[in-house]
Amino acid sequence: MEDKNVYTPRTLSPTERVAFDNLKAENTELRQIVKEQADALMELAEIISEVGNG
Amino acid sequence: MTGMVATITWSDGDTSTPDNSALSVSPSILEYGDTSVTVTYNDHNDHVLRALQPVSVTFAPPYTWSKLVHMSRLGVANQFLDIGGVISSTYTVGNKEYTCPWIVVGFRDAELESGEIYHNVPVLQMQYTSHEPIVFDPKEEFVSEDAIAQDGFYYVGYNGTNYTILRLNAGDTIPYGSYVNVYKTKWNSTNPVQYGLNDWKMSFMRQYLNNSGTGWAQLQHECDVLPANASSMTGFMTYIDPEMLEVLHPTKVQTHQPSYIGGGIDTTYDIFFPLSVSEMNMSNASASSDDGAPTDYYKELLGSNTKVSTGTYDVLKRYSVANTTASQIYWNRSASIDSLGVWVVSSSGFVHNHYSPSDSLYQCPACMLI
Repeated sequence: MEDKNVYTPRTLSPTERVAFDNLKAENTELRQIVKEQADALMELAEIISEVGNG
Repeated sequence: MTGMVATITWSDGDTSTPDNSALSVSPSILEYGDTSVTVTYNDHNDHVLRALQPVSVTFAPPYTWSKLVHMSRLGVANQFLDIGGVISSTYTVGNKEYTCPWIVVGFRDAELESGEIYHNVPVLQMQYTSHEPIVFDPKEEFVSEDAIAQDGFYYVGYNGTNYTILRLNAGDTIPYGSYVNVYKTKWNSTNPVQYGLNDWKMSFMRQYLNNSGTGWAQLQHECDVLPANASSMTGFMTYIDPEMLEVLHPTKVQTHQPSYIGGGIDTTYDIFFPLSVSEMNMSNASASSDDGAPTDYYKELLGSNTKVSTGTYDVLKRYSVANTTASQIYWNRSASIDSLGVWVVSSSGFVHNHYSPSDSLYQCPACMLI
């Protein structure tokens, strides 16, 4: 079995890395909000379509 | 060891490697604790031509857990790993596996229970918090059933509103009729009964972090009380990568006791432990400077080579391993030494003395890579 490397040398300073993590967390949260809004719009579009067809 | 390269430097400075068949290396396989190898080079008449007093040892990637701990045992981990470097790992809850990096936050001496001391050992801290919160220690509401006061114990009366230490001598009748409840305690303080014990050594969180499976919570003194959810929780080590667990050992941890317990310094041997206020490069009159030296990572993070005052620092926010967008409040190891409470970092990065050890908060533990 190939030896698995588990270590990643430092690429950013601790403060830069934490800032990156915070940004990543905020972006993920933002993406979730956008996804929820997109889902809601799709639902609305379906309702409008059903009403239109009815 | 696979992937390890020993670089030979002769006593005269020459680094050329002669015909391998003529080399004699002792020991031929490095074991934990070896700090040097001796290489001799014999000519075909078996005369020693050059005896080495080497040695430099180079650890080449890939860095596996076993190779990391090997370099740590040799005292050279700081030559190969960086402050702020990351060791990847997993955190498994049921059939769900999460990414769980551990950050190299410092290097320092580590002492095992056997008394062996290793140098330049990496201090690792989990990048994220645990997935579930737990008490530091529950309210020690140990209901007294003593007819008369016992020597060496204190009694706390609860009237439905307030907790009061009863002024009793050994042999005195306990005034049960005057209180809703009377609790028995080992300490001359209402704090453990009212809020929980703020002492790392006797905390249930220490047991939780250093055990796997069920049955991790064990009573530690005569008036101890188990956390209410102890039987439904499995110890922290249940979730940790087995490859990581295999190489770790308990090491010496020192923590200042709160004054009502005695105000001394406890020594424990733990695999996992939360960092202290001091180790996070902060100071406060209510946090002991005896709880370990500041780590280099936190010096950089807080932008100071000397300790900064406790306060709110955005860079100290930590997210849950199971939800990396949710910042969580996490326990520190330091007690408020003159009072009740344990130091914590809130979800907004506010470092403060949290009065109630019996609240359930998250962990962001550290360990020594040895």
